[in-house]
Amino acid sequence: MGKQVRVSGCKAVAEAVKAANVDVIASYPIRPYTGTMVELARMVAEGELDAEFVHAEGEHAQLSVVLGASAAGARVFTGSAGVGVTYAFEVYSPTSGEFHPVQCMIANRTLDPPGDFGSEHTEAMATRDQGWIMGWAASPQEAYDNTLIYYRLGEDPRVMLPQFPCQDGYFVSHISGPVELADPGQVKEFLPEFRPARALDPRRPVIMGPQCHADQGAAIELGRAEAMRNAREIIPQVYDEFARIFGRRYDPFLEEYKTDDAEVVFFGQGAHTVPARLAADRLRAQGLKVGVVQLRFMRPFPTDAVAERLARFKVVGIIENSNSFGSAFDAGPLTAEVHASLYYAENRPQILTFLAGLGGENIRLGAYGEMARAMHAAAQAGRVGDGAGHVGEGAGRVGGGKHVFWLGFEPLGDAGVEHVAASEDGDGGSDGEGGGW
Amino acid sequence: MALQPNLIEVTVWYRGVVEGRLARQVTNSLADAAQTEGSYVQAFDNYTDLPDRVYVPCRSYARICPEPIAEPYTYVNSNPSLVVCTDAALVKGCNVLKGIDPGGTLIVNTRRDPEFVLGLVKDLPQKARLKKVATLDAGTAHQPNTPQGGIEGSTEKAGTMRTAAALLGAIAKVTGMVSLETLTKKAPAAAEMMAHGYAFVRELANPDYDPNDTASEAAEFGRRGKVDLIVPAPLPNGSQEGHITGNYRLQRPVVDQKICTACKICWVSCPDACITMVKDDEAAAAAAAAGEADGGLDGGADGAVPAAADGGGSAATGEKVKVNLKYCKGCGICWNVCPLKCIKPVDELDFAGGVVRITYSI
Repeated sequence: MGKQVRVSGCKAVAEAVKAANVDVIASYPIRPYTGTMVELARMVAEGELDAEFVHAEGEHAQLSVVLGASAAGARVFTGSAGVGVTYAFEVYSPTSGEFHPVQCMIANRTLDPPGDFGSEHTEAMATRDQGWIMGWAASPQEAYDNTLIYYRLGEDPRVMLPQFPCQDGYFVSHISGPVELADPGQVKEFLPEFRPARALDPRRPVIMGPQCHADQGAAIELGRAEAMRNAREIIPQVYDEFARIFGRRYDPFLEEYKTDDAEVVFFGQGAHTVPARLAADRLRAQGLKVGVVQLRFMRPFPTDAVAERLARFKVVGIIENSNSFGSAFDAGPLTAEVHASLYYAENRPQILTFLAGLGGENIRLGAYGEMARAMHAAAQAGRVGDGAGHVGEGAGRVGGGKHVFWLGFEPLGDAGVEHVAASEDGDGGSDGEGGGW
Repeated sequence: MALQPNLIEVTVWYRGVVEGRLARQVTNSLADAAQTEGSYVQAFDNYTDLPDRVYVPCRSYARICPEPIAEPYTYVNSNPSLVVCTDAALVKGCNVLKGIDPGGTLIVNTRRDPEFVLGLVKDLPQKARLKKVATLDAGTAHQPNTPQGGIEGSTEKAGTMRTAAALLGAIAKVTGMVSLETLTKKAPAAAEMMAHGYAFVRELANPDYDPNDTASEAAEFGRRGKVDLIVPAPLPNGSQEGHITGNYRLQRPVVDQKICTACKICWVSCPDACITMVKDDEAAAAAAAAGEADGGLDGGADGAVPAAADGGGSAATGEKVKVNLKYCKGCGICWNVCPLKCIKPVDELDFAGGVVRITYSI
């Protein structure tokens, strides 16, 4: 049984990195992930952690440093946020393509504009197709656990892929929560020493990532695709192992909250699924059968789990916390992936998308109520948009009904309900004027 | 309480870097103790302050609630019922009472008495909602030091509490929101300092407190609307009204013009260009305009220090040193580089004037 502390998500990750006995760390500051590196620097300086701590000259260098160190057989850690994540972009594909299980935490921050400190998932989502394992923590405890779980998963010889454990800036990174720190013995059992089959060694020189010809490329890409498929396959085993050793059981793909009798569910990833749970409790007291489904992995995306398990609900309301301008439905990657996953399902729920929390805006309790009522109305109507009878062609409109909404900007009436001005919580309206914001 | 009934919000004002650890010790220990006593709690720092810049006024928060905290991601404490300041100059430099819950309490770490602190808030519209003021000489934390982690969302290694422990003892005594016993049990090593704070805190009922003034200030949660990404900016030869820095200052540079030879070493050394060289008559006029013998800067006008314009300065050019107190951060470079030691640091609180009240968005 580990030690109970109350720490922020940043600090929790630093503790997990220490527990994982990481060999090389590359830092470069950017809010909101900086706290992790501040903490790790202190740990190294005070001798709590025996690691090489390299302060890089930028994010591109950070990723290059840990790529090289990982190639030499070190367990490595780095991290970034916001524009730092995008600045390092070039290095992401070689890292996964050469199978270096680097871990790079992301504490989310908006890109420019708006460029504020607030969390939205856009910057991390931009990297989702680079062959990295990626998912979100909703609490400091999950951030701690994900660090260990991702190393275990990424360093599996069948996978050997780098990982982006993400956490929402401020909401998770800066607000303290209860965390159980693992015993060294537990960590040792769960996360064996990193011993890659092929590591750089001056006695046996090798070239990693040589120049290839056009007819050699496809096979290399297939290898990376297979590694990602393998990751999807072994994720449940890793979570079983984690539960056996640490006593905390997570659903490997979709964490469900009060879904047994739910007709409508919020679907999202990361921090916003926490107030969604609190909102579900309150909405249930008002007679709305609301549940919450939290996605654990964006990559590998759990296509089957999503198709099988979302099919039983009448309406799924996606809390879309990132933009993909001009994408299918003019929403974000989550919307596109959920729709695609459900295409072959026999029973398809209606899907509403709420673009919410962008720029780090706090989604107020009343806004969750408003979204739930819109979902409920769509469930009653039986089909998105039927009730309101809106017409119009174009993105976000299926069967004459709009189903993608910029929360607080677009009335939810199109989903089959009149605009809900105020909820019982007194903070309902989406007009921003003393409303649910 | 705008956010949730029964939610208690505590805001600790502190100065970036040098008092950050102290502030977080207060908010974290308070939250820990309240949690032990059965409450739901949060402790976190303001997300948009600049805690990695020395002396900048910053805020650390605690929230205590008998029920689960319904909106855990709210960025700020909008209606604190307890405001703690880690030094008294913060009260002079910021509107620390903004949003205070009716019947709220202000506790300040200072050797001065509560009457003095009440004098510092007498101009604030919120003062009728302030029920109690308390002061405690809990020691000073604002000497330059090296932060040991802590900033930017991390938390310090558990260390010895001294100033924080005394402030926690004072909070237990004045508000009763947690008991001294619980605090002591959580941190036995700090028990003595906690008991000190509990015993020596000086309380004063605010005579201007109006129990009928229950209109809680509206929480600023509204979406502010779209911002134009191309906005007019001041010319670089002017002063930046959007970023007044005079409230970073704990000590004010005062020039003894009788000794000053206008050598300009301070002028060239000031990192914020707060020192200008003015002619005798300009200095006298500026001092007169400031309207105070101590060279205060009421109304935000540039201050001249000091008023005594007789003698000194450069015989050749008739120039004198003038300090812009609206932006002077009190960094101390000028009084350290002065070869004649004719610039002296004087506690900001010793000047009745010079209030640069900056109201931060809550």
